Amino acid sequence: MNSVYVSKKTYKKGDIIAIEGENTTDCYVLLSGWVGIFKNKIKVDDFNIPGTVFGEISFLLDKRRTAHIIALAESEVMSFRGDVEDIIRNYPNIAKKILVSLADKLRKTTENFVLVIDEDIQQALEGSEQ
Amino acid sequence: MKIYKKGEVIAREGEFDETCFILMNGRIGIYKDNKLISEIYERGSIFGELSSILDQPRTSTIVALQDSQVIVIEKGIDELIKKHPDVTKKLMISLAQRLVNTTNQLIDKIEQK
Repeated sequence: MNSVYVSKKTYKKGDIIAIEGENTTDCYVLLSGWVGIFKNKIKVDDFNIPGTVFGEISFLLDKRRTAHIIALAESEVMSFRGDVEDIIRNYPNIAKKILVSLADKLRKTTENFVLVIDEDIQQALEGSEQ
Repeated sequence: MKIYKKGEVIAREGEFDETCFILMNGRIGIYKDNKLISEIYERGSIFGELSSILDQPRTSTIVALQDSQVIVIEKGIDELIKKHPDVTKKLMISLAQRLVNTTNQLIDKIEQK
């Protein structure tokens, strides 16, 4: 059975699309506009490329929102919810977008993490030289 | 299904191919600049998926640390989605979990500064 629900909505600049800690599991695809991801008031990511997937963490892991999602400009957003395997079977293009988005974010986050760790190591080395 | 002998290279850093792999049994090592950065030994683990999904050259070398049985998905991610929706779901969940963990580590580090 196909149990996937799809809808479309336009958010104004500053509108909150999802709140950290909230128990919603929709996954979103940006159709137009600009969206930011905020965690503890730190902007961890933002995107303006149509087709970008976001909010997929809650959707996939069935857990509360791990970040705020805010429209940074007027944005048109498609949202969907439902069984993950149904989405993979019925919407292979969306499934691929989700995978690409996750892999790309993981690569970016890992690179940033390595940069921060490298800074720490550098500082520790400089400290030990003095 | 393919068997890689201990020491055999499964994929090489810098190479360009779409293949991703699922470990059935054995032990796999991920090397970057000749340093072992990760070991995979859990049955059903997916590896080599980042290059496959992102369509980029390999960022690390994958070597069999023991004789290992591996499912090779040659046409990469499109084939995986089409033929193995259950494995695709597992892959999505594993990537999402890794993203959560790495993001939390990054946030912790930034907040410490």
